[in-house]
Amino acid sequence: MTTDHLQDPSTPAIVLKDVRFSWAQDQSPLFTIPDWGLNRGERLFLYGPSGSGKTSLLNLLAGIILPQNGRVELLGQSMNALSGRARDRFRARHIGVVFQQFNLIPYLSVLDNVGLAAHFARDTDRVRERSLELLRRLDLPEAHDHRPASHLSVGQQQRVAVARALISRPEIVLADEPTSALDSDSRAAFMALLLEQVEAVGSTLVFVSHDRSLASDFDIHRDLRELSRPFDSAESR
Amino acid sequence: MLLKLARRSLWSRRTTALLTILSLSIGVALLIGIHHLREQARSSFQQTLSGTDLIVGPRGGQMNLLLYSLFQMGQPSSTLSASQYERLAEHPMVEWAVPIALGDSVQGFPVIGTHWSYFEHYRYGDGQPLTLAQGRRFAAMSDHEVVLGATVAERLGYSRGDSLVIAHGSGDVSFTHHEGHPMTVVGILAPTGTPVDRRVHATLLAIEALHSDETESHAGHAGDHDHDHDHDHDHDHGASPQHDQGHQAHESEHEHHDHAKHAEAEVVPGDVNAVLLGLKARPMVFALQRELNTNADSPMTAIIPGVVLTQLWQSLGVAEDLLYLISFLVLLATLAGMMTMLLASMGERRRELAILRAVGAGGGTLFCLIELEVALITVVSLVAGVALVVLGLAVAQPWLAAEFGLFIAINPISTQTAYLMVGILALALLMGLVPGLAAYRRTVAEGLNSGV
Repeated sequence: MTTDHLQDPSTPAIVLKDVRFSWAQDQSPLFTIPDWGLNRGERLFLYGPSGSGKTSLLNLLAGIILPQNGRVELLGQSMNALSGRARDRFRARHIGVVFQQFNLIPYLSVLDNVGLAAHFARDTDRVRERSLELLRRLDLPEAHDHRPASHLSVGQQQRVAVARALISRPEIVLADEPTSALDSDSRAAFMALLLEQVEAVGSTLVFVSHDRSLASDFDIHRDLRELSRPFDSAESR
Repeated sequence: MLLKLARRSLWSRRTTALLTILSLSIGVALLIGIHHLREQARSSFQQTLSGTDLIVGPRGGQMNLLLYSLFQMGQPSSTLSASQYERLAEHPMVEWAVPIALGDSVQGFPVIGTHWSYFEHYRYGDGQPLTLAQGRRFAAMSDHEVVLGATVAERLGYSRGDSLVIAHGSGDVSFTHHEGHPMTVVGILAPTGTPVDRRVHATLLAIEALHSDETESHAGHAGDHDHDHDHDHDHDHGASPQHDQGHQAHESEHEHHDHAKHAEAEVVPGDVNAVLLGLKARPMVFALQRELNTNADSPMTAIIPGVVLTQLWQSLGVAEDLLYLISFLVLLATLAGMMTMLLASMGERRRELAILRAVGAGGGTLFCLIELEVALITVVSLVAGVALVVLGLAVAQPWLAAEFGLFIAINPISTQTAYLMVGILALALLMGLVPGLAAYRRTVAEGLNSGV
C-alpha cells in the first residue's frame, strides 16, 4: 500500500456509500447511510443518543469492522479492498482514537503508552522526543512521564490519550465522548487542548457525543439519526 | 515492544502469574527430575560392569547371581569350590577368570575377596579400568591388605595406612568381628559411580585367613607360612563368647573350606561365590554359557551380564515408567492451570485488548501477545524447575550415593532434557492457543467497545 494518494488533499477524508450495518446478518440494520462524507481538515460534531449506533459507526470509521453492504473509503482508500491486517496497519498509521475513558494500558508508563501507538504505526523515529514534546504541549507535568498510567487522574489520562492518538500525526481523529468522565471545568480545558492539537496536526476530527453543549466548537454538526436514512432519499452532507 | 508489553502485563498480574509459575515449575521439576534420575540410573546401571563376558556362580537364579555378584545385594545361595574355579580358569575358551568371595563387611560395606587380577580385568562404563586415587593394589600374597572403594574411604574416613576390622556378615550390626585380624588400607580407588565404590577389596587369602584364624583347623593352613597374622591371632584366642558363636556358625557354613586349603595359595584358597570370566573370543560366549549351564557334574550358572542387567532394568522399568507418566500428567495439569489463568484474565483484560486494537494491533498481534505471555511464564518456569532439580539433587546426592550407590550428576541438562524442555514449551504454546484464540476472536468480534 503506497501512501502517496492518501496524502492527496483533494480526496475526501471519509466517504460512506450505501452503507448498511447490523451486528448480525438477519437483524434489521442498526443504521443505513446512503451517502455521506467528510473533507480533510473538517471537524464534525456527531450527535447521537445512546443506542443510535455511535460505537458501531466509529468501528466502521476505524476500519475495525466492515459493513454488510456498501463502501467505506478513508483518505481515498477503500476499506473493503483491504485485508484485516492491512486495515489494522492503516488504522495504526492514519487514525487516532480517543475513548470516553480507560484509554491507556494501566501498567505501562505514560511514555510507553504514547510510544505504543507509534510502535504499531511503525513510526518509531525519535518517538521519545516527540512524545515528550507532545506531553508538554498537553500540559502534562514531567513528573508523570514514567509513572504507570493508572496513577494519573482521569483528566490527565484523557490528555495522555490525546497525545497517544496524535503521536503519529494521523489524518483522521475519532473521539468517542472523551469528556464524559470529566467535570465541567476540566472539560472545557480538555476541549480547548484537543481542538488546538488536532488543528496543529491538521487532522480531520470526528467527535461523537450526546452532550450538545460541546457542539459550539465545531464547524459541522450532525445528528446520527439524520445520516441514517433510507437509501432512496439520498442525502449529501 | 510486544515483549515489554507481555512482561509488564504479567507483572501487573504478578500474584496469579507467580502462582502459575510456581505450580508450573514444580511440574517441570518433577518431569525433568524424574527423567534425569531415570537416565542416570539407567546409565549408571548399564555401566556397572563391562569387559566381562560371563559371570559364573553356583547353580541358582540368574538374577540372584547378578544381584549378589555385582551389587552385593541378597545372599549367595551356595559357593563354587576351588576345583570348580580352577576348571573355569583353565578352560580353553577362557582368557581370564577373576574370583569373587563375599560374606564379610566393614561397617555395612561389603568385602570382596578376590584376586590381584581383579584390578586388571574389572572394567566399568565404556571399558574404563579401575584406577587408584592413592596407594597401591594389595599384594597378591598378602592376607592383611585391603583396597577401599571411594565411597567406603570417604564415608568411613579411612586413608592409606589405617587399619580396620572386618565383620562377618553383611549387616551394619554384626556380632562377629574379625578383630584378631586387623587389615591395613594400602590403596583407595578413584570413584567410579558403580558398586565398586562401596566395596572393600581383599585377597582371597586374607578372607581365608580371617576365617581360619578363628577356626581350630588353622594349624593346617597351607598358604600362610610367611604371614605375620599367625602371631596376632594367638593372643586373640582367649576368645569372647561372641567369637565362639561366630565360628560355630562359620564352620557349619564353610565346611568345604578344608578341601580348599589344600589347593595352592596362589591359585584360590577357599571357595568363591562367583567368577568373572573374560573369553578369548566373544562369539564363544553363548557356547560356553550353554556348556556351563548344562553341565550336570559341576552345577553352575553362567550369565551374560549385559543381558541380565537389561532384564533387571526392564523389570524395574515398569514402576519407573509409571512414575514418568504420573509426572507428565502433573505437568499437563499445571499447564491446564496456566491456560485457565490466562483464559480467566481475558475478562478483566477486555479494555486492555480494545485499546491495543484501537492503536492498530490486529487480532494476530494480540494472539501473539498471549502466546508470548505463555512463553514467558513457561521459560521462567523451566528455569525455576531446573533450578529446583539442581537444588534437590545437590541436597539429595550425598544421600543417594551413600544409601544406594547411585551417582546422580547434579546437572540435569542433557540433549534429552533439552528436547524435553523444548517439548514442554511447545506443549505450553499449544495450550496457549486456547486463550490466544479467545483474545483474537473477542477483539475481532467486539471491536472498539470503549464503554466497558
